[in-house]
Amino acid sequence: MENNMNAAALMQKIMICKFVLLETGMFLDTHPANQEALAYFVKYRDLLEQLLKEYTTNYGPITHADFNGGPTWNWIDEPWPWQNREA
Amino acid sequence: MWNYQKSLQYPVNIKNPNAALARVVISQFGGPDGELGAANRYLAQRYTSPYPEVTGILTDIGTEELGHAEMVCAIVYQLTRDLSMDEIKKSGFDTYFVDHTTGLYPQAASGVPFSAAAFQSKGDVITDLHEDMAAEQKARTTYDNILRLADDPDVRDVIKFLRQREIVHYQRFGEALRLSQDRLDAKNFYAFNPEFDTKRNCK
Repeated sequence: MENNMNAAALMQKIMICKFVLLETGMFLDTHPANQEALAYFVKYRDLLEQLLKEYTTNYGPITHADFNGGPTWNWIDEPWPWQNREA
Repeated sequence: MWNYQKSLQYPVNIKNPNAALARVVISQFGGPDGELGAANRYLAQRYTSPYPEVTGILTDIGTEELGHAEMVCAIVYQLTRDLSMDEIKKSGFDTYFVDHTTGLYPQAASGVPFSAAAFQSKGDVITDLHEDMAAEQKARTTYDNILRLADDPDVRDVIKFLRQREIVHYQRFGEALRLSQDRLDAKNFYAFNPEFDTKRNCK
């Protein structure tokens, strides 16, 4: 149970970081030389990398490439992101 | 959630423009058995999928089809680059050109715009997987027909790759159907619909 709560909290941080990167990336598309935005992007990119490593090591893959070498292909394990209840 | 990757699944490098061929190839972007329909078919069906293997394969193939739509668009784009007005008139591309210039618009070769009416999301895993297997074969036939019409080896190489993927997808959907039927009543596969009647207890 505690594990699941940790996973959910970590996933929420990942979702926040990804949204920050998406929003900043779109801003940078039209302001490609904005130094403040570039630094902001790098800061959250580095944070996202740490969070993704922690999540995928402990709770399962977010992309195929996150497979951690277990005995089965846990990519297909439920819940899928739209299944907002315990599988 | 999807992330765009700035690479094609398979390289598209066409040297010679050919507007007449572009008019045919565009059917696999927005035609009845095209990649846009394929991606949306599988990605729509997966939400109510009752078995994780099926959810996985619908997600993964649906995602790959988005990449195939990009490849088909890359072919059409490269076939319609640097066209003279004379080539546009002589090739019959003028009827497309008048509405879209050389912009990419999802339509069939006949000119009929993309329509979701060409695919189904039925909410029944057996029905949907049969639809999906048929869809892969229809796309395979379309690519076979494009190969009958296309002489350019640069185009044929990419079309052959896409055709081969239809065959692999057909195989995977067939396996998904078998996995599904293995979990149902062998005496009557239709005794209940695992996508509706029992959501969680039919593993």
